[in-house]
Amino acid sequence: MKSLRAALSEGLIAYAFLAPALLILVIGLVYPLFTTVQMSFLDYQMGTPWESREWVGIRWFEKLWSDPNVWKSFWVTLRYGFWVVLIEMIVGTGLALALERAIRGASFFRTALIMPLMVSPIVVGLIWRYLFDARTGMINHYLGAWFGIDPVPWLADPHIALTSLIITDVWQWTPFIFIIVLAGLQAIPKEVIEASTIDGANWWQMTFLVKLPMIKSVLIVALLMRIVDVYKVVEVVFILTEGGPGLETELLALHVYKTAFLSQNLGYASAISMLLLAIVTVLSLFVLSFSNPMKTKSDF
Amino acid sequence: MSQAPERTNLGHYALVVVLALLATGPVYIMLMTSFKNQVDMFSRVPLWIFAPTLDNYSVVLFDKKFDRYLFNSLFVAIISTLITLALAGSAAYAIARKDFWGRGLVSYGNLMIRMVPPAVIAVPVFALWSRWGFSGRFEELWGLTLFYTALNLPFAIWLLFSFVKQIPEDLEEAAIVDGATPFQVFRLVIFPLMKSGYAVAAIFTFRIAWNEFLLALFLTGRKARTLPVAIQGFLTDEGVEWGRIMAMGTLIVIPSLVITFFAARQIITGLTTGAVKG
Amino acid sequence: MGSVTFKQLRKSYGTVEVLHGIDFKIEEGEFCILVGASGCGKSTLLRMLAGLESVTSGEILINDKVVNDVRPKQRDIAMVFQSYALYPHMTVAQNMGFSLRLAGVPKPEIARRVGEAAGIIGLTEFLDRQPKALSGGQRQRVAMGRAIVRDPQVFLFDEPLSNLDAKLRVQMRAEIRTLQQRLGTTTAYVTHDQVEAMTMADRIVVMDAGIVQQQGAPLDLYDKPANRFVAGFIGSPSMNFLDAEVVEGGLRLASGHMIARPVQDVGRKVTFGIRPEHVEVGEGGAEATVDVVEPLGHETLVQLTYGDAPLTLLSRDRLSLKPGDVVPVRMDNPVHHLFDPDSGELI
Repeated sequence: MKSLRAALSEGLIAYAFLAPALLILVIGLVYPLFTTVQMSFLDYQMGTPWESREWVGIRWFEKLWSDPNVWKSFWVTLRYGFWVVLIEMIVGTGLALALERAIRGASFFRTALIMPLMVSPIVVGLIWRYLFDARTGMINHYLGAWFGIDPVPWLADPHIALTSLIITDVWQWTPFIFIIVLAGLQAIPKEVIEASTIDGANWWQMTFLVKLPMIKSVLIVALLMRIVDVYKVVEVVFILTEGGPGLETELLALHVYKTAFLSQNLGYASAISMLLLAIVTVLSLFVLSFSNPMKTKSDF
Repeated sequence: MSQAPERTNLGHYALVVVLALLATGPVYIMLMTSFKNQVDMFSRVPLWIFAPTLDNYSVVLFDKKFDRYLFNSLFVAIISTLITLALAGSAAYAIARKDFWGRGLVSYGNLMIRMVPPAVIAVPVFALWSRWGFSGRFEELWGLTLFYTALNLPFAIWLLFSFVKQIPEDLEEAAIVDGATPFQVFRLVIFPLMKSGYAVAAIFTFRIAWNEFLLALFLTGRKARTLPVAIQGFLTDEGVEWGRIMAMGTLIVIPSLVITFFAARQIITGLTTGAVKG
Repeated sequence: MGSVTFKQLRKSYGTVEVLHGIDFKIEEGEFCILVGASGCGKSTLLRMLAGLESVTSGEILINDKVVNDVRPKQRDIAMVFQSYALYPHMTVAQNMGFSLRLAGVPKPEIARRVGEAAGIIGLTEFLDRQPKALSGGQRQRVAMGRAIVRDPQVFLFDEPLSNLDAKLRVQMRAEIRTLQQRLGTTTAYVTHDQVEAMTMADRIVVMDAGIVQQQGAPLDLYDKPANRFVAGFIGSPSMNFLDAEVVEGGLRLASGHMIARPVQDVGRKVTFGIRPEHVEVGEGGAEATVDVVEPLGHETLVQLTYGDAPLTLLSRDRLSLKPGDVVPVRMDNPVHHLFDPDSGELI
């Protein structure tokens, strides 16, 4: 046991190191979040003075419960997240396994793969809007020229628009999974791979019985990061479809946005925000329930 | 790896090349389109060889507002990056190495807060914006800087935390025995050894702040508009001015491309931190 | 130079007490080695002396002054870490001068003292190198140089040689010993290696389970161990321990073999301890089976099974034995020890 004085002084020093960051976090994140909670119980319109707010209890939540648009958006969000994360995890992991050795030293390839991750989401949206353009877009042109496929209304067809969004996200974020899984694979001690070779494991056995189990925590962190990030997306959909056609691509984050800034109903937007936060939290805890990488990685 | 070199065959390399083309292709198309004139751009068959023109750039660059957008973007990105780095390093150090009441709360809170989508923050911040009286160009820029810093801090702290963890505790103890105060330990021993961590954190912080669109769109007026907001202005109801969009998109992406080419290793470190040890 | 005194020193982490009242004194100029198996509390004790761990109760005195609440920098000590803990971003000279720089010593003075210390440890030409450009032995020297520069009251060494290969370890052992004798600085040195302790120390303090088992000059501990732990810990290969019973006219080992030695309390169970070099192959001995023969050149080490118990024999002769041989071994050398089987104390 430390003496009280020593513990106290160490604590004070720690707070001194932390205080500036905490202050900014509290002002810039914690307090706004708290305000979201508060506003979800208030009738408060954009452009009106704060004093005009009115306490409405759980009225927004009741409205939300019976609002078909919100539930439409809820399911679009879940479907979008499901497909995006599933495809990126499978393709990213598969490519990492397939190319682990081939790209050893091929740094140009890694540089190329990082590029989509670094491009501003707003620019990603614009580039893909250009590529998806039904009349002048390159995608339709080459589909027609090479495969004889009629022009596809990528962003205008209610059955296809969400797929187009998913394609865009898969383009941008699959490299992320690839790079993380690749790093995980390369961190596996060489001896283990050599031992399993001597034990007579073939490629499939090596992959599914040795490599994947050994990078389980890496895969879980990657999954977690994607789940958290996928629900932050607004820019790309904002540029590509603005949620349309109809509400076919209206992700919740975008719906929050429109409710706040188009309908100008900040109270209701806050209530929908809470729903979005709930989804992210539930999914994250769900993934963490399989294994908590934070616990095993460090005592963070 | 010594085993089975015959599996690394031509097919793998072909796949590598295709993937590299897929990843860079759209960016390349943007670059190419930005040099096309109005006719080439809408030619029925996409043109891969054409007479390049700088018209789009001259329209974008000689718009007198471009300087302002650029300045605004640089202002918020650079200042929020500097502040984030200054605050995150010492906070990460305290969480990694100090024993204090509330340590668990702070570290878990830091992780949880990373999950919050910016759209969720935009709504209350918009309400607070006027209550806090942010108006006028520089007040708005500083306000934006504040929120970018707050949005970036959790990741920066988390990233630097893993760098602090790699520094042997013996070094701190040696410094204590050598007579260093807690602040000297940080400034003279920990800080210099975390430089590579700061470089990684700087890249990611700058990227987020430079690219951010949502908060900037709704929080800033005309004068504090940043580049990502400005580019969206070319999507008008009358038509989409692709040439200008692609030219401005290229300009926006330049810092990211430069970083990608010169700091790929740091980017990979940042992407894999937390998932893979070391 | 300073003396160091521990008075009823205790240390707990939460409810677990790891040091249970440590009492001993390191005299001025003495080279004192704390030795014990890992987890015995020796490193904790050293770190408490350094001021890196707080004191739960009891007192630590340096030069008869209680330093329990004195910060490390004011204790006038210097420490050499197991990992050397060299600052990787500083040159050798900056590493060595760091403490002086923190203390606000003027630059020319720092340069002079660093140069002097570098001369003592033979690193003069490496002063501008980074630690990563040095070999293990050189890093070890820099770590010592960093301690020497400060000219402290006490040197603290925490397992300083355990990261070196065997050959270098033997060489550094001698270097550290020579250096300490030359400077005459009081030294507290922690190691798990009893050979290091035997070869370097003026005085050894043997620790186990958070208490001091015995202290004294190396050969005193070897010749007169106070209990079974010390007897087994000091000396390599380890002492043999055999169950025995006191009978009329001597001891009867579990195998039935008799050893002539008058002991009180007929019928008492005892543990009979004898060092391997005092066991001999010879006519009239008890029969034991050879398990392993290790010819070392200048001596031969033989592992035997005697009754149910393992027995080690060390002979200066080149014995021509094979595994499986049954040989008579004599254990009637007058140099042996009897311990209480329950308490482990010497009888």
